[in-house]
Amino acid sequence: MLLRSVYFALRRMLRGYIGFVILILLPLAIITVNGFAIGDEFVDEYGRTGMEMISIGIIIGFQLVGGFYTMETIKGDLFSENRWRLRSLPYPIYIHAISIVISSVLFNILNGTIMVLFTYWVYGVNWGNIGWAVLVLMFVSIVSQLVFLIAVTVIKKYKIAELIGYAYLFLFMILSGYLFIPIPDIVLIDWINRYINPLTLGETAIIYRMQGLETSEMYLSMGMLIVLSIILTVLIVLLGRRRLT
Amino acid sequence: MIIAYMNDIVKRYGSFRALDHVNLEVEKGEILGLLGPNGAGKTTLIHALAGLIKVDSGDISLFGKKLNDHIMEIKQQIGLVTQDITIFDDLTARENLEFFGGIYGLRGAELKQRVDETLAFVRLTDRAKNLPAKFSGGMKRRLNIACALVHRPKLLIMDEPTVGIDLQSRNYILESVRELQKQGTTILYTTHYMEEVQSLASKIVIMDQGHVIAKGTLEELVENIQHEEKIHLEVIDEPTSETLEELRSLNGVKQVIHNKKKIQIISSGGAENVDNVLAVVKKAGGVRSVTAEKPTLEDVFLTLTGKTLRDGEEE
Repeated sequence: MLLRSVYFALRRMLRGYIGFVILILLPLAIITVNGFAIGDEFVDEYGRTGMEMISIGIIIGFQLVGGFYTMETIKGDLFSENRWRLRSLPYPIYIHAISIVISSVLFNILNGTIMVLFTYWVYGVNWGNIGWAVLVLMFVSIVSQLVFLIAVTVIKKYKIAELIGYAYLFLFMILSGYLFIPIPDIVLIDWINRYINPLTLGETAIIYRMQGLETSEMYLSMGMLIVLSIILTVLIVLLGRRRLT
Repeated sequence: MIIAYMNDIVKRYGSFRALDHVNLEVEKGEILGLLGPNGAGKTTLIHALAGLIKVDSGDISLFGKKLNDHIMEIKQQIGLVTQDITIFDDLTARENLEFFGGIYGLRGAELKQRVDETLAFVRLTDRAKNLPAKFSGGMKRRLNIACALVHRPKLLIMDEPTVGIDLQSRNYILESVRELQKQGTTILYTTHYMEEVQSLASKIVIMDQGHVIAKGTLEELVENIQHEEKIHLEVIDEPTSETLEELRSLNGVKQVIHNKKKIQIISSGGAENVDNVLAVVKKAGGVRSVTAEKPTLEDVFLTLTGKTLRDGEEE
């Protein structure tokens, strides 16, 4: 039943051309403009070119944006008038919610993979191991989908849940330094970026692999993404039970 | 044989009682018409019966089983046609039916056959590969119904299935409901359109303010209200004051109004004065035409609730 539900949810997402525009064309446009604006001479502290730095940051950043897909679909299916039809089915509602999260992750992996391959072939971005990069993107996406699922499930007012989604997105983007806002050098922010921020965790896991740096740091970041996924899953089971059963 | 049974159901939202000690029985094979003004509790009743909401007290049984104990098994045998159109706009008509049919456990050739039959039943075969976004309101309504039919439910619950559609689609839906009943489906049908209930329902339940205030066949409901009887006459000669006085003196006559050769006589319910009135006016010169108004379902509704049914059209 879950597989069938995932199949149809994914089919619905693949039909929405706006999703492709927002999650593929828009980030590719940003990468192209900013990558060329920074130029080939720029090399950051990890030895990445400007195009590599922008590509990695934007592609991971848009995995976070993908959480809005889960949020919108959950709202449309389970918290609008459609909920009565779905609740009348011999089918637990949480299965439908899980199928939406899984299909959103798959949809994001597809978009992420297309962008990784595009930047690799067209702009020569060195991703190190592309399979590893896609795996990292998948866990960033899972964390993001679960954060948005918790927001839309626990908070009754959709507008507030949406605001929390934006806050999550922009907060972590700012802390990662991607919005060019100066970040004070304080321990708490370093700690958040090392253990919680999915953007910096994903970035570290990819950069350390592509540049052949310390594997312990790479595995720590990946491990933290997995731990965050588990914690968020436990939270959704505890907090979302009332609205998803 | 009773297939759905609600006993002493109470459902509260805060201090508001949406269902207040409601009892209801649905017999196998019947079309039960559920009427009520805005806020009467019809949709809450349907949601409770379909297991979509939990009630505060009372028992609900369907197909001889307690709803709370066998909810998934019971849902397997129910089809719900929601008041709003609840189909997936980004799946084609066929995919919508495949999704819902699949959830009900249909697979492979059986699923394909049921989808084909259901599309044919709602006359959407030629639009099977189209997305509902390109459909008219009537076509969307038909697909909305089809999604509840694909698994051949024993009990079909229809919550205002004809709201906001053209006459042709509405007539088609009503025909389909009759056809489904012939095929053995039991139907619980809510609507604000009196004529739909009158033409479809074998039994009618009237709700108001969370209570079931009357139930029975149309004839039983009409019989049970003490409604005024109106007789309209057109006479050959203008009536004299003596004729009018004689009419006023008839048993149960409450009012006699005349305008030249037209007379309207209002009697209390059950007076059955047509013969007596005709006898009087024939003596006084003869009758050109006579009509007697019987109480309608609208009158029943008005008498019981103090409101017209159209008051609640937005529910």
